[in-house]
Amino acid sequence: MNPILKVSKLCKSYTQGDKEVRVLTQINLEVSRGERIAILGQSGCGKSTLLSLLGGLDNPDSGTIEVDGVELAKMSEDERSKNRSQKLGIIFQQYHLMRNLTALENVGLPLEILNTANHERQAGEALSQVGLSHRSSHFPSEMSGGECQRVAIARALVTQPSLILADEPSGNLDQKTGEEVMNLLFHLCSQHNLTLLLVTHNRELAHRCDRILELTEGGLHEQSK
Amino acid sequence: MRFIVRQAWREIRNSRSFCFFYSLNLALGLIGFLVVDTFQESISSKVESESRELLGADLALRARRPISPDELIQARKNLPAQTTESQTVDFFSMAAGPGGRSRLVKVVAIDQGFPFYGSFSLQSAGKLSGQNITSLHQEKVAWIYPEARAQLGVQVGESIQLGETTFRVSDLIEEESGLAFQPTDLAPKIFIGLGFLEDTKLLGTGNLAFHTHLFRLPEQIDANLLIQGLEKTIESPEVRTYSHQQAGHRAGRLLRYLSDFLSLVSLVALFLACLGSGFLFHGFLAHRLPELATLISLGATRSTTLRIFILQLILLGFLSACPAVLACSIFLPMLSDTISGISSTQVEITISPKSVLQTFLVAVFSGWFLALPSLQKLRKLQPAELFQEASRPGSRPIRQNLLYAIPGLFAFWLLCMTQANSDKLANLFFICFLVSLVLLYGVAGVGFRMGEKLLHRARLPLRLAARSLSRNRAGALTGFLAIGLGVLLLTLIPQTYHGLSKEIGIDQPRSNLPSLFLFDVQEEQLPGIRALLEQQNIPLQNLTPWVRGRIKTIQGKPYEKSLREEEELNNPDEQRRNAFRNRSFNLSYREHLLESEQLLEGVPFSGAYDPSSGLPAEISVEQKYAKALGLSVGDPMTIEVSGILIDTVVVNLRRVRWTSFQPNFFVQMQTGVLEQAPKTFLATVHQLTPDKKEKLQDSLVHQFPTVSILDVERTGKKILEVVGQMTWSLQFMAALSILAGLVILYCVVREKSRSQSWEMNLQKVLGSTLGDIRKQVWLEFGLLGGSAALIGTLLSLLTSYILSVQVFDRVWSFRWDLPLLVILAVILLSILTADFGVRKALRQKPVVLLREA
Ligand SMILES: Nc1ncnc2c1ncn2[C@@H]1O[C@H](COP(=O)(O)OP(=O)(O)OP(=O)(O)O)[C@@H](O)[C@H]1O
Ligand SMILES: [Mg+2]
Repeated sequence: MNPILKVSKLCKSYTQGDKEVRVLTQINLEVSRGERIAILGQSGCGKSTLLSLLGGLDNPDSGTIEVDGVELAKMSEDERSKNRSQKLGIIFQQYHLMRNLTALENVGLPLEILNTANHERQAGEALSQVGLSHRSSHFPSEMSGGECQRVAIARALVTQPSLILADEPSGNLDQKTGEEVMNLLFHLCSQHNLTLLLVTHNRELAHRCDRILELTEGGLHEQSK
Repeated sequence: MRFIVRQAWREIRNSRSFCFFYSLNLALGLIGFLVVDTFQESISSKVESESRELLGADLALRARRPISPDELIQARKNLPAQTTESQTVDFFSMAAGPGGRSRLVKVVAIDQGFPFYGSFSLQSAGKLSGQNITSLHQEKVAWIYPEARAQLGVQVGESIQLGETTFRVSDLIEEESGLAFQPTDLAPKIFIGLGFLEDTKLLGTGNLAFHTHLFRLPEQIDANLLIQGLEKTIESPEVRTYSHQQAGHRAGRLLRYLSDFLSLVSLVALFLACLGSGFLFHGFLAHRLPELATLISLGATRSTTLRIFILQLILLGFLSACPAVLACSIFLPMLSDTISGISSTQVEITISPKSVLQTFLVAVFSGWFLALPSLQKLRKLQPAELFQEASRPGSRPIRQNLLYAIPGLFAFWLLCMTQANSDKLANLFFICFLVSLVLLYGVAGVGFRMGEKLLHRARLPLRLAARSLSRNRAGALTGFLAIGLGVLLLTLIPQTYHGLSKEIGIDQPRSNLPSLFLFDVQEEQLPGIRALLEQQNIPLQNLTPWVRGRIKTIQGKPYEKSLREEEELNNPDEQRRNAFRNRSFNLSYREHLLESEQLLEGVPFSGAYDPSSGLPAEISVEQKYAKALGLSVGDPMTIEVSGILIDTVVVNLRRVRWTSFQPNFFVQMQTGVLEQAPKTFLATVHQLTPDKKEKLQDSLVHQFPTVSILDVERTGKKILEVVGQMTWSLQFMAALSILAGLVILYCVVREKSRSQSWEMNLQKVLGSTLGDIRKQVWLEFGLLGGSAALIGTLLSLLTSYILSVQVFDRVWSFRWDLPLLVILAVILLSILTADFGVRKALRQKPVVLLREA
């Protein structure tokens, strides 16, 4: 079976003033469908940078990224957006919900972008899967951090994407809430057989994944469990 | 697409206050635009649809002398067989009422049939068309305007004296049509039958009268098609030909100048409003960027997000145009009243669908143009920043590219060109506008930065205020521009008006203007008039001979009709040039310069002319006239005076301050040449009490009925009245601009309090009292408003000075009270607005800091 994600020789550096910061030097990665992968690494080592490249939100300096057999670099920006809306779900540490939309509307937004017909029903289902049916008409400012992140998870899953990119989803939450949220995420991923790429600082969480990769010195290194 | 519509609607729903202020601002600008556009449309449609009534005929020949039978025969060759004819003669003269009270009037003697189109509206006889007018041609009766009735003290049924005969006033005129060449007359009109004109003996040698020959064409023949042939056959440059279309065009001229002027000013208001709305949109977009980044991360394309905003702007444009159209229907009656004083022709004002459509277009497109610079932020947005913990995507400053403002400025220029009838005016305006803009922008940019440095060591609130202005530059500059331009407009016209009124000296007890201005004085009447004045111990001053001449050659080349045939353009300058180029002109002779004159180039006259020298006679030419004729110092020119050719040479160019009312002419010749030529005299009488003036006028008219007397004070007042009415309409626009400026200021403050509420709260946490912060805001916006008003005033002084030098012959005097008042008022308003806008942010508890992520 084709890997869902194939990354080879990925490089990315930033220029800060006149200095060049080489963040990612040589990333090679293959992820098969249904796999759950944890990425560990020290703060500032480039984990978020990697996710943004994989999501097509930023362009690498060199190297290739193939999502579901299609190379990102060969797509136009609009095609990348389209690809994102169909195949990717992204979960941020800071949730990034629309402030002026209700929980239900927030979840339904990706479907609306895809112009799906009965987006409200599907959004409602996704919201009930994260256990927030009773909150559907609440605005983000009226919900707790954990609830917000659950809404964000529902939003990422509502389009049934083939790949989920999650950047420290529990990073902003207390331990107990964080655990609940992560349990939910793992549960949903296995239920729908979704591929998950999880960035985390938490080794315990990492151990619940199928593989653990450590990002050091700009490259990914497999770690045994 | 459905997503775009839904999302755009959500954006509008969720940012109501932004939408409200955006639309309010734009609506203010659109009101001015629509009002003036409607005004303009109404004038041109009136002029087009009623041009026959305005001229009273299809075609006309008009000259300052009788049109010769030969010329008429020539003219008729060009016209179809069934053409009918009529004629009129009009001139200024004195009329005396039954009590001996006399005034300058404009006599219009009309022949049978006039007017072919349109009608007279009389108080007792009602509406009379040309064919129905009989009494005027059968009896010695006159129709007068109610104004003349009051001035002459005459009632209907009583008689007035015109020259050597009397006419019974049989009716009062409410409205008339025909001969609508002059927008406002210096004197009220009196209509008599042409057959009785002879009896007045008013048209002697010197008396200047216009003779008009009018033609009515058979139906379905376009006058404009015949006019060219007619122009070719009439050789004399003094005879002007008019089609009714041309006449209508001329009749609407003054109104068109006014509306041109107003429309350009209304564009300033529109620009300011757009500036404010653009600023608001900028802030709004900056606020929305993080969520847009999220939208992109969810898979929306950039062009989708862009379309959401464009759609939103279009919707908002519609939302702003609607109240503007509504408000316009309220303001229009007011404008209607205003112009009724300026024009003798009645213009009915109605909103045309075209104006409304134009308003909607402007509303929709201006939104798009002013969003262009901001939308660049959207293009540069980096959704990858969403992964960064502390950063808000789009919050990083990007270098604002002023290039993106160019399409907007270009669109503004196009708008100027379409709104003003004269391209030259539009371009001049646009350049002045751009220069003011750049000046204000530069001064403010440098000023704010300097302010921060200078106030570096000042007391805390002042220092913080200066820093805030300098760091929050986009907002500060927008507010500054808006207020600066608003104040510029508001003070410009009063300043110019002040200069004019001071010169005319209406309000001063001892003005240096003459009380009475005598013209058409015959040489043989002079001793009599002198004697009459001496009896009352009044000196006759500025006695000036008035000689009629014709230009034969200029620089050796014959001055022929070809010059006149250049198309009569819309352009006011061109028109004036053409008027200058009339081959007949007036000249005089005198030894010295008057106090209202200034030598610009060349040398004074060498003294009296010496016939034995064989040299050409020396002449002095007014600078603008010289420019129109292409004359410079040293150029020869041959002039014909009553059949005799005189060789002359230009020895100097001079500037004349016409508003001094000292008698003057474009061309002055040295003494010793024209003394024997046929001429009349002009003279002035100074320093009369109103009572004495009345008496003198009456006795002069009684003894010398052909002498015309202009009451300068009355004329001056009339001019000021017209200017005053123009001022009113201009102030309406200025008020709109200031209002737009205040709304912008309020928005700036709101934007500031939104983006800086976090800082303000932090300041509170760090120990500033509410009063401190408030004082800082007051200072900041007081400084902003005050400096903008100051610079705006200075610019307006400069502009009014330039205007007065260029247009009003150096009439300029500084008026300090109004600018001072405006500056103080603007400072106060700025502070109040700022206080009002920031109040909500100040009331917040600093606790929110803990809650906000
Ligand atoms: N837009 C940018 N411009 C310049 N440098 C950047 C930019 N984004 C990230 N960096 C730098 O790249 C490096 C990697 O950043 P990144 O956010 O990927 O780290 P991270 O592994 O996600 O860290 P953390 O665990 O703290 O989230 C950092 O040193 C950061 O300073
Ligand atoms: Mg990170």
